[in-house]
Amino acid sequence: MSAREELVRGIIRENPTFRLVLGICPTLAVTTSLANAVGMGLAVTFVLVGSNVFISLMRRVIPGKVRIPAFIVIISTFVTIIDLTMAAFVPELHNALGIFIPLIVVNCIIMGRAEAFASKSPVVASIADALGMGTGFTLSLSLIGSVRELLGSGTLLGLSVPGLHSMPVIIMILPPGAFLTMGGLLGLFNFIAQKRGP
Amino acid sequence: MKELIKLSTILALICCGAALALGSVHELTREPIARQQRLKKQRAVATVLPGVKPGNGTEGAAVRLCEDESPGSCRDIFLLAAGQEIRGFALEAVADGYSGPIDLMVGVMPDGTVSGVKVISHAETPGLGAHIIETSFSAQFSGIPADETTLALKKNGGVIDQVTGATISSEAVVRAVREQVRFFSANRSRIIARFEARKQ
Repeated sequence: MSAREELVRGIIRENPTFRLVLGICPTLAVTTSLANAVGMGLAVTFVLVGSNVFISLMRRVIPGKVRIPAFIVIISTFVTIIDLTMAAFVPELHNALGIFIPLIVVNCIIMGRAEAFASKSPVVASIADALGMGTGFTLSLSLIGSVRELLGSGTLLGLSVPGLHSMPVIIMILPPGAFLTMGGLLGLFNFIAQKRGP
Repeated sequence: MKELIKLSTILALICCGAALALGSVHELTREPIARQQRLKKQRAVATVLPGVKPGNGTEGAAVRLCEDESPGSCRDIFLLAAGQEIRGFALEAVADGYSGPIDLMVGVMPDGTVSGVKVISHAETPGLGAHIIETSFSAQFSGIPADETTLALKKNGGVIDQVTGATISSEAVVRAVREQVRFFSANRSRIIARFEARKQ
């Protein structure tokens, strides 16, 4: 498979959120607004690229028996880097995402890509895979975040949207809204996928 | 045995690399993070006493004052002064909110009147308790004299309109502000003495 195909695969055919349904905890928790969703998506993409590159480079050095602890050390290093960097330079976003930044360590998309792809593939392909998966994750989160922010706060990126701003459906930015949006979108994408055939 | 040593060595080397990377990132971000936290506090201090620009004694470390031995009775106090004249004080407070602590900055004038209240951070319910950050709620505190019966929610005989649908969040903020005012009134001379001592 070419690097280009690796890149596109994560966005639609193997979209981590709507096709693989991975990493749902942060997906549900931080998508109360579009800005939060994009921030989380970019943080995960950064960690994905970093961990995929290192794991791919070291795939012949890391013995199979200790690969999981090695992966976790590498992943958590990148998570801590992005955590500190965000606290230093985008404190507002860091505040809004809170505990979910450190929790990227246990995001199964990252561990999944490390185990299923980067540990078996050359560096360029691993970067493409990480960027594709990261983009797919960011787009999915942005979609959920937009729906929830529009309906729940009547705003988009903090700017009020006429017609929606006067009567926000508060439940959409509360936890149930996350499940409703996620379920609705999942159903929609499955419906489209079925229509288009396998 | 040989394999065990090999595996541990590789893992240890990976950890060393990670530690090195983290150490340098920590070193690089330490100053910006500390600056952000200071800025956040300074901004809060500036908003609770209108008319006083941050920069007059608010940058310096706050004075820490305790009522008794327990650490819970201690708080950080910032001085707001215009030149030599003391305009007021800002006290940090933590309210026990509906879903976690609410960090507040409470501004108090030298006579104990509340000059302003600012929510620094909170985890209240979006759309309900989260409205405590809005000025329509926090502005109500400005100018309330140091009187424990006035400084209460309307339904408890006070003058503060609660946030609709968020009695617990509103009550938590009111209680925390009242506590700061009480603390200030009780320790007024000590607080002023501490700041006077620092000036020299």
